[in-house]
Amino acid sequence: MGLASYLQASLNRRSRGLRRIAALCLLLLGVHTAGDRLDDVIFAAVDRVDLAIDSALWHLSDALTSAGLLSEATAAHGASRATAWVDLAEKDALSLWLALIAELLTVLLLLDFVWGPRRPARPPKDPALWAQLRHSITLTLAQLRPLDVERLIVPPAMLILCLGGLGVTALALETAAAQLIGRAAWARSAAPAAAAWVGLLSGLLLLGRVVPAMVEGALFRAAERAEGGDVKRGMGWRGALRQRLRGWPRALLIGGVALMAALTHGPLAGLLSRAAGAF
Amino acid sequence: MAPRADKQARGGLFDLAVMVALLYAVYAMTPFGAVTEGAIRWARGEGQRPDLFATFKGRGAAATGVKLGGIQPRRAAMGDDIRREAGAAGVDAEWVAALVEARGQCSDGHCTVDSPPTVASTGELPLAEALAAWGASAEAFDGDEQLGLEALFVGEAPLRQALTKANAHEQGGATSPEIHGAHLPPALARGPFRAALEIIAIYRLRTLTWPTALGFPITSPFGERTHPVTGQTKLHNGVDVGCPTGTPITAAQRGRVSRVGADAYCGTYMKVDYGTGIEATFCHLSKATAKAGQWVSQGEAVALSGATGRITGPHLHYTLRLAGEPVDALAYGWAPKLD
Repeated sequence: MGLASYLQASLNRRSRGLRRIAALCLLLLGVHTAGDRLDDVIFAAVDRVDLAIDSALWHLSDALTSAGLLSEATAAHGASRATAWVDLAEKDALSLWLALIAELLTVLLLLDFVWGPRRPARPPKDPALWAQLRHSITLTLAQLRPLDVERLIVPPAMLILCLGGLGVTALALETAAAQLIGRAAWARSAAPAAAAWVGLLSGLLLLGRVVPAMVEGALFRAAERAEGGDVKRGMGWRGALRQRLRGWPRALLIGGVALMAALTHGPLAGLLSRAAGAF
Repeated sequence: MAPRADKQARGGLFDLAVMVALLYAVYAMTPFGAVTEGAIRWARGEGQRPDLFATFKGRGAAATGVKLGGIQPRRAAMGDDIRREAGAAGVDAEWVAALVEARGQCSDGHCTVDSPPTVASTGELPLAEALAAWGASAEAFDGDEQLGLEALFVGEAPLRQALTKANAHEQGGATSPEIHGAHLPPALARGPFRAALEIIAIYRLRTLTWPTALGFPITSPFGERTHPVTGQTKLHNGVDVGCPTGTPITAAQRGRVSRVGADAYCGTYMKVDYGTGIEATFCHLSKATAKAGQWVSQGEAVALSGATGRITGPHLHYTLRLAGEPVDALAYGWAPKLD
């Protein structure tokens, strides 16, 4: 066996692992894209909570003063100290820390859906393409039953995060392509549009190669987790409710971050407009 | 990825290419690349330990590496010969002072510049040539000296490409060096572009305007003080300007309104990010006329002063921060006299 054949066979054997690393990178990029808005949203929430607590403290001190339990000066002093406790810069830093923690936690949680163990599926008996496709759809739909919050939210959220990640990846590849194309003097004027196309097409290739398998794998993993949880969930309506709500904190965090990524549409929109500019 | 029997796995080479492309994207477009580079530099003893949080923040000096701490607030003496040559070359003398102060030292009409790659590879650059190159570079960007300076360091083509991408990303085509810098190739963004940003930071600091009309008294300066309401002794992190309610507050530099909100202590407040780690906070406003996310130009009215929050009377509390640290705003830009 020649070296090239050996390398190819070796890479083929590791194909799934390579795609899993690629999927993780894509999710990491998608989560980071969401981070653009995440800290703003967290800051707005922190700001409102802080204002509500401060207002409550002032009302409390007013009430205590009216009841004669505190002197006016002491109440005002105490409430002022409380309001000055967390200042604007600290709130800003707090929201950035929370956003960083949310990003890292989301990536850690997604790691399980990308890499976590799942039962190998039986291959179809009929090797025909149509039969394989039907088998795959049946198998995928079976993973959705019974539907719970985790299975309802996590795979679509991963798809959204991947699309966000694709936009950013396409931008990075576009930059690299523009640099390469721009080195040739004759191609310099066409470099921006050509690079935009390189970014767009490579993004589409990634979409086809990595994303469907990753989303499907996430669904299988979620089903596997649900089966593991069935043992603990108990009986009756409480058990049924627990089953439906299974994994809601995880789904809430991942879904929220995905929503932020969906709102950050700049990279993809810009890339499409630049590619269209070639015409 | 799918849990199927994968007896006939194919496309391993393609998957390897996909993985490499995505690892490159992670390196180029997320803080992990900058942190990894920083860690390598630190391991070699060439830099400070990287700060994931500061890099993650993705804004200001912490992310761009601009060293604002070393910038002196007062203007450095600028030789007449530099002024004369700058004027002859049609370049703002302040820019030359910034260039000289930030990146090199001049003697006998020659400046040593720390290798702006598109200008000179030797690092030794005659001042007149630097000015001429700068002027020509700015011309290519409709006379915009900031962009001209950036192009001098990173090259015109990559900068144009980055601007195109940033303009498409941002609403209204507005951008700033931090935003379009993110679209430069990593080697340029983390090297020469950072040098350009340092100069731009100095320029911005030196051309800050005062946020109110001049003539209002400073009722409480920056520094340690006993708070009139809480009685606590702590750092007063800003300057109190005794202006009546309804006084227009203007942006001290071109920037973006980063936050608008209400706080029990600060009242209605606004934060404006001027870029390169320079940020202003205005407190006790009666009304914020600009919205969060809005780009504002220097001198543009963004709010009206008021008497909201914990105060003893109407005034504007103005905090200027450099790389996250509050500084005395009176030391920068055109400051009014103390009472």
